Amino acid sequence: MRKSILLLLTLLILILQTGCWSRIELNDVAIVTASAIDLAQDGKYKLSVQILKMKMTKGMSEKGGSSEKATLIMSARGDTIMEAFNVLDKKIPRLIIFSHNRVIIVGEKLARAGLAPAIDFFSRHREARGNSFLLTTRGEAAELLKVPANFEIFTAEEMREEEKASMLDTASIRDFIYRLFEKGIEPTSSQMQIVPMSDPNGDPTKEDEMGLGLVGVGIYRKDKLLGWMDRPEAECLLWLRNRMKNAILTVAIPGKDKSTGRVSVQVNGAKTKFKSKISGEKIQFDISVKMTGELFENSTKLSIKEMNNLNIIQQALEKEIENRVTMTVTKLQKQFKSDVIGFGNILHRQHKNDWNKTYVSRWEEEFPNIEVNTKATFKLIGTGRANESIVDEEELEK
Amino acid sequence: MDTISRHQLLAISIIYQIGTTIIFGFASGAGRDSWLAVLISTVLGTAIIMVYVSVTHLNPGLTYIECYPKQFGKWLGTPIAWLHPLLFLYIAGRIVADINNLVPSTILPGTPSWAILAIFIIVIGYALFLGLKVMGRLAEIILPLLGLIYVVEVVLILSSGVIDLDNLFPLLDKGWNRVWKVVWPLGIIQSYGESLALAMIWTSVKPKGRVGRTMILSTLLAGSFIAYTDAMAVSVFGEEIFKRATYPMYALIQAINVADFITQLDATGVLYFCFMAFLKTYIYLFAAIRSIQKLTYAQSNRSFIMPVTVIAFVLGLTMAPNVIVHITVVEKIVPYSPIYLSLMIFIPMVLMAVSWLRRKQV
Amino acid sequence: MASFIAFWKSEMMLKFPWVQPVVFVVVAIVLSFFTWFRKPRQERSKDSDSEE
Repeated sequence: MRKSILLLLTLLILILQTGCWSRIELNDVAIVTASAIDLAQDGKYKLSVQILKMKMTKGMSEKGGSSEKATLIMSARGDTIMEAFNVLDKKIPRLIIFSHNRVIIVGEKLARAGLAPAIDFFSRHREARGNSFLLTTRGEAAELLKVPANFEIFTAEEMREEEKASMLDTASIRDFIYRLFEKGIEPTSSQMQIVPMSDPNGDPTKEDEMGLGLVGVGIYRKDKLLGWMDRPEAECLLWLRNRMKNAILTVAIPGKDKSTGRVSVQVNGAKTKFKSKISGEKIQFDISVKMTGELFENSTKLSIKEMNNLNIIQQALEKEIENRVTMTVTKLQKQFKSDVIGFGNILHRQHKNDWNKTYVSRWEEEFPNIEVNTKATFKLIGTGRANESIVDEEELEK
Repeated sequence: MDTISRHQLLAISIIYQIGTTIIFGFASGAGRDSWLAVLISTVLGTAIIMVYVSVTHLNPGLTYIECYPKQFGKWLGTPIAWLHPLLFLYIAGRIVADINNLVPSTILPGTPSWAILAIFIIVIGYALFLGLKVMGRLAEIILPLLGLIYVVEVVLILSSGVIDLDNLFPLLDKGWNRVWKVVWPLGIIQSYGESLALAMIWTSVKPKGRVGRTMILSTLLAGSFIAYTDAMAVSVFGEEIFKRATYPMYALIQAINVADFITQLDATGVLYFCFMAFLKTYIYLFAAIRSIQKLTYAQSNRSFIMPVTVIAFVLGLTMAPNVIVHITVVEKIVPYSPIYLSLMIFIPMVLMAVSWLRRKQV
Repeated sequence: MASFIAFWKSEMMLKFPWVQPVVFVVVAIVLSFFTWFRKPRQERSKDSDSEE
């Protein structure tokens, strides 16, 4: 008898220990899935959020059927991010929580003026998570939130999935802050724009053919945006940071009869190694990129059954990689003067004393002057399901 | 008899020594070399603990603080002995204040402090009432569980792909200076000087003997654990964020994100910490109570439980208005406070020397 | 002067770090009187002191 009383008492105490004091019910909250921050005309922050609409119908919550929009876009202005949230909070009957905030989009004006004050909030608040992605866009960030989602229920999820696919260099808040602090590397963030689904080059036409696309990468110095790099260069950044998931390389191979065919290869893996050398005043980096891939499209007249031809293709690919890398690095050095790849960090690790003595304070001026040599190796591991090209071929191209 | 086995002592010690460092990022002042500072502190800490152990060996049968009146004479030794329970009470209050700062700022924002602390203190009071045996069993059972949770956590962090080992290099970037600054005195005091309170329970360990070996084992294990966690945190965040984060370990758990599916495990870290804090506070209060009991020749320690827990509660509630001030006290004042240094390091050494000399005379 | 009593508070510890050691030593000596003068009466119970 005593035992059962004790057991009951224990259970009672356990129930009281669940921290119900600070409970927040699901139907009392508005969940923010994406935030967009812009710099308004008067210097205030304009914060727009995408809120998941969850209605309580018949005791069950739904995320809104397909006939109506699943999300609500709201915006407010304030002197700080928290103030703007406060204004937003007052507009709706629910408590705003953003522990599920998946992306933070920053408008161009704000990015150029310096992100750090806006991001400070996200590095402190307990609900803000470090793995939300940071995106930038030309123009106003709030516009991106208005695009209807094509594949997911709400656009925030779409943006996140695009980021995760990692076709271009991505940055989470934690990454960004990390690179902000490190003296040897500068931050980047992905650039997302509204792109028409059908015609990539034309003007936007009908509304339901719009989608969101990752078109480039923003390059920063400290926390100020300098400019954008577009797709081929951004892919290059990814290779150099050893974060590539998959990529397609296309290379043109001139034929004997002055015709040009192209070969497209899917790159499976890339490994980049950096070696730095300091000789006196000169800093030199040797980059070695090793890639492996499979050939999936061949429109040249080369017979890829032949070993020689494979070598030609591999060499052409290697040349292409080296060109791209050199071009990207040169652009970073000359046009942006910002070391987003982390050459500084590498120098730090490999030549600790020199870095600490001289370069750490002057890296911004040193970086444009460093010499970078690239050597690429490409290993073709397969040619897909077919051997011969179905394009009319010639024998033994030398 | 209120005794614990050697194995239970091991469990208690490991949990105790890992203690609250888990959340605050031990040796974070050393940046990316913090794990190195931890390892060095561990080695030195083992030496300190051996001093405590040898004191109890040289004075068989007596609890640690009873050695002071015995060796230094009743007029000098007794005040020194009385300093210990006061110290233990203060440190216990500090840990309670840790809870007071951590829990509201992470998982229970709306709950008033007194409610959180009251529940905490009541449970500790009850545990004190039940005796050391119960705590021994509790530690013995929970330790494998805590270990399991930790392993799962590590696996999840590895699977989240956020670790970048390059962040740990270059080694000793800013030289040994930073490392030494953290090792002495803070590093040694933090977990190893504080093992002084554990000395009060050594006489309760049956079967007798081998306490020294157990303590060394637990120190090494706890130290490696802390070093490993520090290294992991640095490799995820990089040096700067690690130094600036208020609760780096908590942030580490927040970083877990496996396939976007397993996320938001924050509460696990806080629970971990709460249990560690629970055990540490218990040991301190137990040590304080037993010290008072010995020094006042009281029959049983029941009558002291109430005042001691109330004092700890009040201390914890009022000690720090916010966590920043709290941490500043730990980093700036405590290491240089004569009380900590002398009680934990210098006076025990003197005690050991005196005990040894007296032994030789006999 | 009244705030000196609450010497354990962080603000006090930061502003007057010497208060803690001083108070501790004073209280220790005061409490030592307990030990010094309780001893004769409790000689018997000391011998049979159990580890409760």
